[in-house]
Amino acid sequence: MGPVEFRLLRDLIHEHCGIYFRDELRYLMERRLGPRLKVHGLADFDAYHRFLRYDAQRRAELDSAVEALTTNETYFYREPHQLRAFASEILPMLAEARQRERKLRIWSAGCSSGEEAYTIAILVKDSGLFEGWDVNVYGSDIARRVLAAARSGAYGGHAFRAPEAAAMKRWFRPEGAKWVVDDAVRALVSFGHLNLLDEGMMGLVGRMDVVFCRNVMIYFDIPARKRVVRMFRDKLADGGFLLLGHSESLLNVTADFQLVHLRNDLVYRKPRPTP
Amino acid sequence: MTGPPEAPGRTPVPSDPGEELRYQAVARLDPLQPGGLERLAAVLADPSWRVRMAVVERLLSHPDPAPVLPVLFQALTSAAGAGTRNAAALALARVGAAAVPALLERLGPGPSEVRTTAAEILGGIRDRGAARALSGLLADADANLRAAAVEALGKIGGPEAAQALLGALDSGDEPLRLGALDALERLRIAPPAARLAELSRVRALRRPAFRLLGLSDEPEALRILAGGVADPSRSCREAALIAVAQLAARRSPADLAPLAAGVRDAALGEPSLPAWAEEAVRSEDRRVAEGAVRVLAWLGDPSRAPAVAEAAEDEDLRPAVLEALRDLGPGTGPALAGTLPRLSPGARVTALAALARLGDASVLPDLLAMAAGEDEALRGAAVEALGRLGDLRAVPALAALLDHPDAGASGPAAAALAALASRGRATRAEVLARCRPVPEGRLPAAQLRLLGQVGDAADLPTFHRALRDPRPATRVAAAQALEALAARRIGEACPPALLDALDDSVPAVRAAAAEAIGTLGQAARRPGGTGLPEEAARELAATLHDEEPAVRAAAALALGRCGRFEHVGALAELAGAAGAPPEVASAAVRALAEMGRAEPAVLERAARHPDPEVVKEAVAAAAAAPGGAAGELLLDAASHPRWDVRRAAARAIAARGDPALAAAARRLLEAEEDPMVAEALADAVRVLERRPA
Repeated sequence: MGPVEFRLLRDLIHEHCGIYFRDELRYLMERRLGPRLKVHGLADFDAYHRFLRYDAQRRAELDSAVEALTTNETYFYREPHQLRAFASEILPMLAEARQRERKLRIWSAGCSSGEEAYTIAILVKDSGLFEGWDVNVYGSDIARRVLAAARSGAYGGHAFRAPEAAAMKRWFRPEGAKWVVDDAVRALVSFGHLNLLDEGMMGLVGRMDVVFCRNVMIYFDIPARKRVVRMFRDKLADGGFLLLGHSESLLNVTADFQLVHLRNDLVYRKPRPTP
Repeated sequence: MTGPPEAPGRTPVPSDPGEELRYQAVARLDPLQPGGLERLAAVLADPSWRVRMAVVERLLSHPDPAPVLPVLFQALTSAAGAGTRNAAALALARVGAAAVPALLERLGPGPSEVRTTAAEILGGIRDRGAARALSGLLADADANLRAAAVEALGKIGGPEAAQALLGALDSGDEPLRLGALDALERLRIAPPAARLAELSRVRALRRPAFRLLGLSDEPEALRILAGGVADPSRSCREAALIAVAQLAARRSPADLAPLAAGVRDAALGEPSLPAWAEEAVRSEDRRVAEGAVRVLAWLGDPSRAPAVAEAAEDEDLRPAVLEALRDLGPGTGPALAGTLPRLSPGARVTALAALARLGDASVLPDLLAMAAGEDEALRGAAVEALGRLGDLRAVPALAALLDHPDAGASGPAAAALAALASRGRATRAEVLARCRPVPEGRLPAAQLRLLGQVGDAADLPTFHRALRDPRPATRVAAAQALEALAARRIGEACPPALLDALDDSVPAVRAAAAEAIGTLGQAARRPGGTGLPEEAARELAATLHDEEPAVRAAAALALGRCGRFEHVGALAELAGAAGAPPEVASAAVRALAEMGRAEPAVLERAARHPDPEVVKEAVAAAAAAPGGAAGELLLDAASHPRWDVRRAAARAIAARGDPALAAAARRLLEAEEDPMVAEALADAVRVLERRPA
C-alpha cells in the first residue's frame, strides 16, 4: 500500500465512520485490509479504493473494512495495574456512593470479543460488594463479528495468558477446547453494536458509573477524541470514573475530568457538582 | 487546600473542593465582555491545572488574538508560578502565527527564561519563518537557550532548520550535538553516514547516531550498523536494532544483503550476539523486537526459531516473524515442534505459514484444522499457507471451502488452489480434477472463477451453461471466468449466452458480461484476430444507456478496450455530461484515452466534474493530449482543492514533459503546502527544467 492509496483509503474510512489512522499506522491498514483484496479478487489497493467508492457493495464493504481495521486481539485481565485500581479502590468507592440505589452500571466501550467486559464483571462479583444489586456491564463495539464472539462467551486457553487471569477460570467451565463463561457472570453482561462517533446511537446508552475506553482513542483524531470524551462526560454519573489505556491521556483533549491519583493507578473522574 | 483526614487504607479523593466551582465559573466567562479578558487573566494563576486549562480555552475563543496576546505574554513573565507560565505558553502555541512576531522579539536580549520559553513556543507553533532566528541561537552563550532552540528547530523543519541542525553537529558542545541528532531524527533527516560513523564513536551520541543510520540509504550506513548490533552496550544495541527495523520496512532484502552479511561477520567476533538478539526479541519496544527478529533471521540459526515464533504474539510483528522463520530454513520445523502448541492461535498460524513456505509438510494437519475452523482471520491465513505449501493433500479441503457462504473463506480458497495449480502440470491436473464439475453439476461462484484462472477451452461449456444458472452470483462468476479465459487468449469471439447476459435482470451480471466482452474484444484485436463481432459491439453500445451506472461504466471501458472508434461520440457525451455518475464519466474518459481520442474539450468538461476521480482521469488523459489547452487544464488541476487531484496533475505535468510549463510548475511548488503534492511538483520541475525549451 503506497502512501497515496493509504491516504485515500484513510480519508474514505474517516468520512464513513470517523475513525482516523495516523501516518504511523499505514502498516496496520495494509496488513488488515490486504485480505479484503483477496475476498473481492482485486489487484491492488488502488482498485480497492475505487471499489469502496463506486461498487454496489461498497457500504457493506466499508463496514467490513472498519471491522478488519478495528478488531484487535485481546485477553482477560489486560493492564493489571488499572484493573487492580478498579477492583480494590474504585469499586469500594462506588459501593459506598451508590448504596442507596444499589445499582451499578459499567461500560466497556470498544469491548472487542468481550474479554474486558467479562473481566470487569468477574471483578465485580469477586469483590463481594454488590450482591443483590442491579449490576450491568455493557460492552459495545463497532465491529459486529467480535460482538458475536463476545456473546458466545467461549474462549481458548490463550485468552487467559495474563498471570492474574488464571484465577478467573473458576468462573468458566471447560467445553471441548474452549472455556465458556459461567451463567452467573454472563447474567451481568450485555453487548451491543455502537460507533462511539455516531451521536444518534448514544441514546441507547444510559447513565454510567464507570467507562472503560482502552486503546480505542488511537483510532480518533483530536476533534473526534474531544467529541467522544464529551459524550463520556455526559453519560457518566457525577463522581463517575473514566479509565483509558495506559498510554492514553486527556491532555490536549479536555480538562473536564479530574485526574485522580489512586494507589495503583491514575484515573479520570467526572467532578461532583459543588454544593 | 486540604480536606478532612482520610480513614486508613482509603483512597484519597481530590482535595480542592472549590475547584469544580471555579472551573464552571470560568466556563461562563466571556472574553468579549468588558473586563472579560482581565477577569480571565486573573484566574490564569489558579492552583488547579483544570481551571487554568479552562481559562486558556476561554481566551482562545476570542476571535481576535491581538487583545489576548498581551494577557498571555504578561502571564508568561509573571511570578505566579510554573503552572501559570505553562498555561500561557500552551495558549500562545495555539494562537499560532499571530504570536510569532512578539515571540521573535523575545528571543532577543533579555531574561534567559523569557528567551527560552519563547523558543519553546516557536517550536510548538512550527512556523518556518522562525527558523533563521532560532538557528542564530545555536551559538548563544546560554546552554538552556541552545537546547530549546535545537529542539524547536526539530519541530519546525524545513531546509533552513535542517541546515542549522546539520551544522550543529560540528559544534564542540556535546549536549547541542545530542539535541541536533534527536531533532534530525524527528525530521527524518539522516546526516552523511561517514559523519554518523564519527559521531557514533562518542559514547553519549552513539544511540541517536545509530538510530539515524536507519534513515540512511548509503551503503556505508549498513556497515556501521552491522557493528552497532554487536555493541557492548545494550541501549546502543537496541538503538541499532531500531535502525534495522526501519531499514527493513523500506528496503528490499536484496538491498539489505550487505547488512545481513555484516551482522554474520559481527557474530563471529562477538559470540554473545545471538543471545543478545534473542533477549531483544522480548523487548517491550516493538521496533527493537522487530530489529532483533531480523537479526536472528540473518544469523540463520534454526535453534533460535522458538524465540522468533514467540514474537508473533505481538500481532504487529507477524509479518517480520513470518519472513524470519522462512529465512531460518529447513531446520525451523523441528526446532518449533515444542513451541507451536504453546503459541496463541494467531502466532501459531504465522509459524505454520512460515513452515508451509519452507515446504514442511508436517504442518499440513494443523493448517487443515485451522482452515476448517470458525475464526475468519486464522482460516484465511491457514488457507493462504496451504496454497503456498503446495501439498496436493490440501486440495480436497480447499475445494470444499469454495462453496463456503463466507466470501472470506471461498475467495482465499480459490486463490490458494490457483497458487497450487500454478506450481506445475501435476498440481494443475489435480486441482482441475477436483474442481471440474460432474456433468450437469452446479458450481459455486468461487469454483467457476477458479476454473476461469486455471481451466482451458474444455471448460467453456460449463461457463456457457452457468451463464443461465438461476443464481445471479453464478452468472456473474461465469462471465468473469470467460473474461479470465479471454485474457489468456482462450475461447471464442463472443458466445451468444454472454450477449444475452447484457440483458440480464441483475445489474452485476450485465456489468460482468460487458467486462468480459471487452476483454474478448481486446483479445480479438491481436494480429490475425477478427475483431469483436458487429453484433457484440452494437449490444455493448446499447448498454451505454443501461439504467445502472456500474453497467454503463463497464460498457464504456469495454468499448475502449475493443477499440470501437465509431462510438467515440457516445463516450464523449458520457465523459462530459454534467451530473454524470462519477464511475460512468471516469470510465468514459479512460476509454477515450485508451483509444487516443480524448479531445481537450471533452477533458475540460470532465475536469470540472465534482468527483475527484473523474478529474484525475481527465488529468491523466491530458498528459498525452495534444495542444496547449491540455497543458492549461493540468495547471488548473494543479490548483484543485483536493490534494490527490493536485498530485495527479503534478505527475501528469511531469509526464507531459513540456518545458513551457516549467515556470508555472515552479510557482505552484512554491505555494504548495501539502508534502505529497510538493514532492510531485518538485519532480515535475526537475524533469521540465532539464529539458531544452
